[in-house]
Amino acid sequence: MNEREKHIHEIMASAHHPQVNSIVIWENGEIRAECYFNGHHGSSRHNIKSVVKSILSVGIGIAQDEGLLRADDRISEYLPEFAQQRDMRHRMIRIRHLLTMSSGIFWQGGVHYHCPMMDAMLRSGDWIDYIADCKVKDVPGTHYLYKEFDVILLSAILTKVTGDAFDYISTKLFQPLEIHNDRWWHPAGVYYSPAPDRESESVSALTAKEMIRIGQLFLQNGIWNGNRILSGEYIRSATGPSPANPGYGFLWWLGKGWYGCRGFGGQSITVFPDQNKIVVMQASVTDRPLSYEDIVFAEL
Amino acid sequence: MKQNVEIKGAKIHNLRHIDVKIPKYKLTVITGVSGSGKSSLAFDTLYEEGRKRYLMFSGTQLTVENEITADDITGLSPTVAVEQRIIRQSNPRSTVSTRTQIEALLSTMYANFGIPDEGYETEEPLEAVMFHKNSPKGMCPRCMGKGYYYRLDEEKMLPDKNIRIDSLFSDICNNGFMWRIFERYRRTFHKPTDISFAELSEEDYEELMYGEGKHYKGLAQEILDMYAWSSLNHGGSSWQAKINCCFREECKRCEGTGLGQLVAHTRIGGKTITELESMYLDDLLIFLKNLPFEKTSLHKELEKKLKCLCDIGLSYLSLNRTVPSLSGGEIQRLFLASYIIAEMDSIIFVFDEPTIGLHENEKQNLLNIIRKLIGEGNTVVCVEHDETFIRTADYIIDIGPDAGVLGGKKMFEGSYEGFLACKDSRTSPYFSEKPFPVPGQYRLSGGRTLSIQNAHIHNLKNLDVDIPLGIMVGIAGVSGSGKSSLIANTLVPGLKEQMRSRCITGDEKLSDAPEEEDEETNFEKEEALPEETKILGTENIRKCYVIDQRPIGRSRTSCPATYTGIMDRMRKLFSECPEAKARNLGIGYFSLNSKGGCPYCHGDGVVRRYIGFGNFIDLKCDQCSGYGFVEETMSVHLNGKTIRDCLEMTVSEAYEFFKNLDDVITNILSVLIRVGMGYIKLGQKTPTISGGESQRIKLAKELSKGKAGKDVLYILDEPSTGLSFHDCEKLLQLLNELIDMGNSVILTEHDTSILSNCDWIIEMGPSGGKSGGYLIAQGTPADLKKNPNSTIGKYLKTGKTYE
Repeated sequence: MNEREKHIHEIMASAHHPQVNSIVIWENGEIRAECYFNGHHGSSRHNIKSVVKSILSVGIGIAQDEGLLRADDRISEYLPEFAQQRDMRHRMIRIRHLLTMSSGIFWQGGVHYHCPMMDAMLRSGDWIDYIADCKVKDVPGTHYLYKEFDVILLSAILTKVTGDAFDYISTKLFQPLEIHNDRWWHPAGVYYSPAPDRESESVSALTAKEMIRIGQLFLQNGIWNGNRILSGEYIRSATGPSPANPGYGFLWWLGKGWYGCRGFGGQSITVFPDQNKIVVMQASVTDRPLSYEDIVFAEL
Repeated sequence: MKQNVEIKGAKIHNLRHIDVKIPKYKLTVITGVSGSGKSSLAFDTLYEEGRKRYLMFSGTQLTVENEITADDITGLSPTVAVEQRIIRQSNPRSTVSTRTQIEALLSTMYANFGIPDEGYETEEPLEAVMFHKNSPKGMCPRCMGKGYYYRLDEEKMLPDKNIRIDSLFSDICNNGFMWRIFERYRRTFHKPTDISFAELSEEDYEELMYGEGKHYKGLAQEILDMYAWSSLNHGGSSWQAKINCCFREECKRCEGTGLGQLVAHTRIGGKTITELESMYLDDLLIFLKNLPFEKTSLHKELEKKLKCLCDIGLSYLSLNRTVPSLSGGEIQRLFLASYIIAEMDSIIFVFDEPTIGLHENEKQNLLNIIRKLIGEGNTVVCVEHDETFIRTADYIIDIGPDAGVLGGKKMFEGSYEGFLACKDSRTSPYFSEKPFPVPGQYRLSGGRTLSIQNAHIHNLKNLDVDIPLGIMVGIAGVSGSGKSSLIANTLVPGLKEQMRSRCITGDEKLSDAPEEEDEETNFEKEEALPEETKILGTENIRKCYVIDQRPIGRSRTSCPATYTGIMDRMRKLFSECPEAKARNLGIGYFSLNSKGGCPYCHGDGVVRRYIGFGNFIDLKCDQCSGYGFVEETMSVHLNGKTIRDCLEMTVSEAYEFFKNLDDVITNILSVLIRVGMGYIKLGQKTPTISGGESQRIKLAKELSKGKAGKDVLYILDEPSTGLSFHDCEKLLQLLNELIDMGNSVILTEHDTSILSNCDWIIEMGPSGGKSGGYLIAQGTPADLKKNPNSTIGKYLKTGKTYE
C-alpha cells in the first residue's frame, strides 16, 4: 500500500461511507492509487447504473464521426413514430435535445428509475410507441429535465443507424479499450441498461479500472493507443454546457474544473482536465440515492 | 350540557345586534327575504365561530381573527357548513367518484379482484393507484388522464402558405387575444412579419408556430389553447369558423378511458372500471350486489356509500360526472352524503337551501335523512325558503323585514305555530292569511309553438315535445328525469345553431380569456345536437335569451357593476368630475384593471400572505389602504363619494345615489331591484355570488337593454333558487309583464309556487336516470292536478275558478 492509498484509507475510516467499495485514482499517465473495501478487489465488477448514459453518448459521438447521423438531425428522420405528428412539437425534437435531456417530453420522475412512467412504459411492450404517445410539454431544447425517455430514444436511434447499438459500442469502444461488458438488457428491442431488476441490470458491470479508461479516453482527446476512437470535436461538445442546463453536456455532467459520469448509488467517473487526473468510485447500491461527492472532491 | 346555542349581539354585515337561541338536536330553519341577513347569521356567525373555535383548541390550524361577529356565543359544538356558494368547484378532474372517495374503493377492488383480458396479463401485482386517472401511475400519458385531447391541423390552418404573417393575424385579430399574441411574437423575435409563411426558414416557421419556450408559446399552441378554452365554455366563435383547424379527439392511446392500457383491460364481472364509472349509481349498486364472489369489508363499504348516495336523491348520477357539471343542490347533497357516511354525532350542520333542485317527492327523502342526522345526536340549521321545510321545522328564526340596511333584525324565533301568528315577517303571511298568489286564469298560447322532434340525448326516450309560445311554460320532473337534457342540452344547442347571434347566452366575451390557460376550466363541452333531432318553429321567435346560473365573470375583478355595464358609466362620470379633469385623470384611472388599480395588490385591496402550515391570511394592502385604487383615483369625488364608496353601495343605495346623475345606471339598477337583487353590493366579487344571484343579474342585464319588444324567448333555470316567497312574487310579476308584452318564458323548476303560476307545464319522469326521459304529463297546472300520471300535480295549487 503506497502513501496515497494509506491516506485514502485514513480518510475513509472516518468518513462513514460503508457502502463505498472502490476508489481508484489515475494521474499524469498512470494509476496512482487503488483502494478497495468490504472485500472487493481489482477485478470486482459493479453495476455502472446511469454511467451507461455517458457511454451511450460516446457511441452517438462515434456514429456522428462516421457520418451515420448528426446531432442536429430531427429524430423523426429515424423514428417513424415521431413522424406521425402525434404531437405537433415532435418534429422539432433533434438528437441534440435528447443528448441534453431537453426533448420537452412529459416526464414525472420517481426515485431514479423506480418511476411510474417507466413502469408503464416497460409494461407497454413497445417502448418507442409509448414515448411517442407522451405529450411534449415544453418546447424542445428549452427545458432540461433528467429523464430516461430521452436516453431510450437515443439508444433506439443508434440501433437504427448501426444495426445494433450494443454491438456497435462493443466494437468501436469496449474492444479497443479492453472493457468487458455483457450484452445489455433489451427485452423490447431497445438496449437500455438500467433495468427494473438487479438480475438483468448486472450485465452492465465494469471494474473500477475499466471505468478509468472511459475518463482517460476523454482526457486524451479521443485517442487510444495512437488510434482515434472519438473526435475531439464531439468531446468538446459533450463536455461543454448545454443551453438548457450549464451543468450538463451530452449526457456528461459538468462542474467547475471537472466533467464526468454519475450512476445511482455512488458510481462515478470524475475527470479533472487541468490536473490531468481521474477519480473513479464504486459503491453498493441502497434504496436511497446516496452519493459521495465529499470524497470525490477531497485531496486524494 | 347546554340545550341551546346562544348567540348574543350578532353584528356582522347588516345584522343589528340580535340575540338568538338555536336549540340543539333539532331542525332549525332560518328564513327571511333575500339579503336580509340569514346567511350572515347562519354562515358568517354560527359556522365561522364554530369552526374557528374547534380549530383553535384542536391546535391543528392557526386561525386569525378577522372580524368580530357577535358579542358572545355559547353552547357551540364543531360546526360543518354545506354552503352552495363556496363549493362552486371548478376543477374538471374532480368527479363524483373522487369527491366521495369511491374511486379509492373501486380501484382497490380492481387491484385485488380484477381479471386482465387476454394479452394484458402481467406478473406484477396491480396497484390501486394504477386505476386513478389523476395519478401519474394511472394516467394515460398522451391525454394526461382526460380521455381526449385537442389537435390542430396545420394544413387546414394554413391552406395557402403564401399568406403573409401579418395578414393571417389581422384576419383573426379582431379579438384582442390574438392581437396580444402577435405583439408578443414581434417583441420576442424582432423578425419581419410582412413576408409569407412560405418564405420562412424551417426554423423560423417552427418558432412562429411552436414558440421558443419562454415568452412566446407559439401560434399553434395559442390557437389550440384558445380553442380548448372556448369550446369548453362557449362553443365556438367567429375566428374559429374562419380558420377551422382545431379538433377535439378521443385519445387514441387509452380509447377515452384516461387510464393506462393494462388497467383499461382489467375487468370485474365482465366490466372495466371505466364502464362501472359510467353506470347510474343505482345500477352500479345492483351490479355490485350481484357480483358472484364473497363480499369483503371493501364491498360492504362501497355498497354502503352508494346506497347513501341513492337515498339522498343522486341515484341518477354516474361516478364519472364531473363536479363542475353538477348543480349547486347536487353538490350540496354530495357533501351531505359524505357526512352521513361518517356517522358522527354532536355536530352542528349548517345548510344553504338544501331543497334546491329537489322535487317535492325527493324533499321527503332529504327530510328523512336530516331527521336521521338529528336522531343520531346532531343539530341541523338550514337557511331555507321552502314551504315543506318551514312547515316541518322544530324551530324557526326569521330575519328581516327587508334586505340590506332595511333588514338585519330578528322578526321572530320560536315554533311553527308561533310563526304563523307573527305579523311582521315577510314570509309568515304566505303560510296563513295570504298564501302565494295563483292565477285565476291561464293564458293561452295562440297556437305558436317550438317543436322538439326526436330528442334522445342522455336518457331522453326519442321525445317529440311541443312548447307553446307566448306564455309561461314550466318544465318539471324529479332530479335526473331529463329536464336539463331536454332544455339545456337539446333545445338551447338547437336554438344556438339556428339563431346564431340572436340566441344570447350571456357568457363572457372571448377577450376575457386568461392569458395563461393551462388547464381548461369548468363546464363540460356542450354536445352538438344529433342530426336526427330537429327543432322547428324558430321563425316564431325573434331573439332568445338563455339565462343560466353560471358565474357572471371569471376574472378576479369582475362584479355586478362590471357585468351589467354600470362600471363603464361610472368611470365616465368620475373622469368628467372637475377634480379628475384638473389632474388629467382619464377613464383608465377608474378601472382596477388599468391605471387605477393599486400596483401592489392589483386592485384587491388585500394582500395574501402565507403564514405556514398551508394557511394564508389576507392583510389590508398598505399601499392603497385597502381601497384597491391608487391615491389619485381616491382623490376624485362624485357628489362626495369616491368610486370605492360607490362599489361598496348596495344596488338599492346606489339607486338613490345615481337617481339624478345617470339614466342608464338608474335604469339598470331599477331592474336589479325588481329581480330582487337590491341588497347586493355593486362591487361584490364574483366568487361570492351564488348561482341564483348570477342568474338574476343576467336577467336584469338583458331586461335593462331597452324595450324588450315582442317575440323574445327567455329560458331560465330554476329561477326560484335563493328567493324568498316575497322575492319570488316580485320575480313572477316581472316575468308576467314580459309575457304580457308578447314574449315567452320557459323555466325549469321544482318550486311549486312558481310552477302553479305557469300557464303550461311539461312534466318529465317518471323517475331519474334510465327510468326517466319520458314525457309523463303536460297541460295547465289545473290539468296536471287531475292527471294521475303526474307526480307534481298533487303539490300544485290552483285558483278558485279551477277548484
